[in-house]
Amino acid sequence: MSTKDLSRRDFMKTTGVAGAGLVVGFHIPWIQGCGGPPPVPMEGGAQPNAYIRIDPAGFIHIVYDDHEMGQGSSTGFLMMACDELEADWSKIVMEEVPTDPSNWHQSISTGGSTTIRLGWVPVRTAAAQAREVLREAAARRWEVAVDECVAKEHKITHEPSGRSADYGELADEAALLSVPENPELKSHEDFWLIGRSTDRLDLPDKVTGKTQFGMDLRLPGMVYASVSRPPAFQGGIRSFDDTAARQVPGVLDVFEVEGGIAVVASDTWAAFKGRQALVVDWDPGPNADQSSDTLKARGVALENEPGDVVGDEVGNFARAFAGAPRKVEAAYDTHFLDHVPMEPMNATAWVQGDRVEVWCPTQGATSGQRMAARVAGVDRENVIFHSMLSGGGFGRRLNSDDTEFAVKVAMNVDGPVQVVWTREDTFAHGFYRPYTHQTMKAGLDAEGWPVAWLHRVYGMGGGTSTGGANNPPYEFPNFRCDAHMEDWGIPIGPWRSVGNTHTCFAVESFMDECAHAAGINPVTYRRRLMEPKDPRLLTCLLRAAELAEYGKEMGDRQGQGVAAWACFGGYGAMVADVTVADDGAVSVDKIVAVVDHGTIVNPEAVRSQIEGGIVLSLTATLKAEVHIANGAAVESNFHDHPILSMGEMPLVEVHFVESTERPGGVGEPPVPPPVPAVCNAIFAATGVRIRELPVDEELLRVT
Amino acid sequence: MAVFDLRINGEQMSVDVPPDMPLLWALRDHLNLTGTKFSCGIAFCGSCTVLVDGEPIRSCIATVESIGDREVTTIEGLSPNGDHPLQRAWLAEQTVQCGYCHPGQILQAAALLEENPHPSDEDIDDYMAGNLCRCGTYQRIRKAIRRVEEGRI
Ligand code: FES
Ligand code: FES
Repeated sequence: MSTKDLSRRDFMKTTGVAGAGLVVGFHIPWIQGCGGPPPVPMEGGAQPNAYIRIDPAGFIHIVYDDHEMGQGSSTGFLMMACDELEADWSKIVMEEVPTDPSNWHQSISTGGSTTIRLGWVPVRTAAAQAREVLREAAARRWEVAVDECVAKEHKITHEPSGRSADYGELADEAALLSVPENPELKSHEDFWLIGRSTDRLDLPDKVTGKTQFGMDLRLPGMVYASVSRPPAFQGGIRSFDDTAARQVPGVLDVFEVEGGIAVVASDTWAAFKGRQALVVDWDPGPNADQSSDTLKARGVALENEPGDVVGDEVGNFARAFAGAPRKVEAAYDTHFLDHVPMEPMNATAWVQGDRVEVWCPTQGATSGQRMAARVAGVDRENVIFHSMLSGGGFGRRLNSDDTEFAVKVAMNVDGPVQVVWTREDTFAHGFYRPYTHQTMKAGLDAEGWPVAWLHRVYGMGGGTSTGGANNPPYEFPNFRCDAHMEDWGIPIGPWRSVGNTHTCFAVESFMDECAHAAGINPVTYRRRLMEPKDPRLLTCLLRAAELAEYGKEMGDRQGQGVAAWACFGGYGAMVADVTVADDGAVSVDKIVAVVDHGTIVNPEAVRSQIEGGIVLSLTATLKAEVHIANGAAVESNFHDHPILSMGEMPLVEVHFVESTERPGGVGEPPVPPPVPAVCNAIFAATGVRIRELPVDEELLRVT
Repeated sequence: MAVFDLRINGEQMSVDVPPDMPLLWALRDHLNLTGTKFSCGIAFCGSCTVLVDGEPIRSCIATVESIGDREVTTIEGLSPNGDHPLQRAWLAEQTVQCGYCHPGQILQAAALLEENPHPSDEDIDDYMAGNLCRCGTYQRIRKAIRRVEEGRI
């Protein structure tokens, strides 16, 4: 049998069946706040949702459900198993994500920088269990003491006699034994693969064009489709004329589906052209007057209105603020952000009676399977769901609207159909990081130290807006975080690092404002407030300041800015060096990042994630966000939503804090700090405070 | 529709498509060469880059008709075994994240080094400016190009 089809039922049968090898199942928990849908509780508690299988040929197959979208954590996950199992790295095989999520013991969903940190104990425990039963099998075979049998280099060796047997040889015998519940795990000094930069397994095919992303799927008889949807978020279709569309060569059919008009064609280009030829009278819907300005006006109007308290209040902000000798206040605006994965949204579906097959590059296979079942009106078990590789996700692919439209179209097509979104579709119908207007207030004592701190978030969607605001890395005697959440009917969702991207901007910019108001060096200022609350982050901060020579002499219109933040189990401080040209153009020359991610499993892959997180962040800071006009997204493609390009890439230096703590998340933590670090550097260079993103160069122009 | 005989990766291939179809879609949907990627469709990102007689072009706007009898090189044809010095350098620097932009990045870099075997940092930035990477792999792309330029591969 193939390992990828393993389910609980099969698992019970497989263990102990001659020829199948050794299977150890284990459970990787889900945690709140990872961005994906909550797990469906399974009967009988936690069941295996990952497996290690050693086949009789000695190959070690690892089945687990995380989605590779560029983050590289799949290699790290396998490294953890390999090290603990004392296996040969070349014999580790990564299996595909299971194709029936309904038969999997947890929602299959990849988000929240969780692959390594949640897998850390379970996968090593399972690997250690496998290692221990292999040792025991060898001991029984040779009738010797287990203590004399050593697992190393993919075999068990009986040291006194020099006999040895490969894992594959022992797998069937080991499968008959029961695994120890709590095997001893290796200690840090014994790791030989964990902590050593290892080439990512997914890269060789990515440099030759062999890798098949979702949009690269080609099936016999497959046709292509493009769906025209109302530009306004709450809009609709009044009527349409498809006469011209049907005349486009290659167009096979045009029909309305719920929420759009589908053009089906023999290739993608014909589908796009047919779609352009549609004449549609769109209904602008109830929010036709909505714009970024109306949102901002609402946020401004609520600046002084207490909102719903988020998290724990400390002391009494209002009283302490009223009594403080000095008050600092500022408000920060961030707009919507599209994830802009380089691979536009897409999915392929094939509906045959009550059987549905979907191929989708998605972070959320379970949600995709549910969506397909709901749209087609079939049982989940009747949906075969293939998780394809994604050309970037960043949280966008946790939503299943890609599958939704593919199935809607496929229900009207005989055979498989690939629904391809244009870049414009992908911008227009995102699940954006929400707009926020954040009001910050601090009461300073006579020496300038904050005795009262308020963070008020106007936004939408709860934690997606407020995440991080209620837990800054500083201790204040009086602290309050409150929020006004309103639903504007604009789809929002988790964007890499979720609320932290914008709450860190407000906190760390405002901290700089307070330090300047107090006349105290921003690092010294942070240090005193951070010391009692977050010593790990403080280590990062102090080391970053030192390595970047924070405070060094800089040229005219050059400056340095610092920021520090912790989220998703990762800690990082960054210092940005910027130069602001006379025309207002900001060039980020260098970023020094000092990060503490606990134990680092694959250092080069982690560095790469941090560099990439910084780039994503700089685009949001300097280049583009998504604005609203007439109830629709304004930006539509890279001409009006540029992203950071090669020449704008600063020199990035990543330094690790050595640690034997358990691994923290890596994908998300590097995204928040660059925003305020750069804005604080702009202030240092020009004296202009940036309180709205992206940075408006006009404000920085020398007049 | 019209039949076009194209020279792609050293082979003759013919497609029956409208003359204004961008080369991208002829490659992807008619010739099953899916290594060339679609991302923006307006020549603003470089994901669809292929070489035509060694020059990088954006295949999302270059029509099939405009190619004529010039030689097209896609990522599948850059080297017979996927071991072009740039491909090896890309792996040595662990350059790639999601990988979606990289067929275009590698072909653009190949054209750069063909034209200018010893580019300055600015030459690299200028030549690669139109190849966007959302995952942010630019620093590693620079290093990988440098590796080939210095013969360290
Ligand atoms: S898809 Fe051709 S340049 Fe973007
Ligand atoms: S590696 Fe993902 S877009 Fe470049």
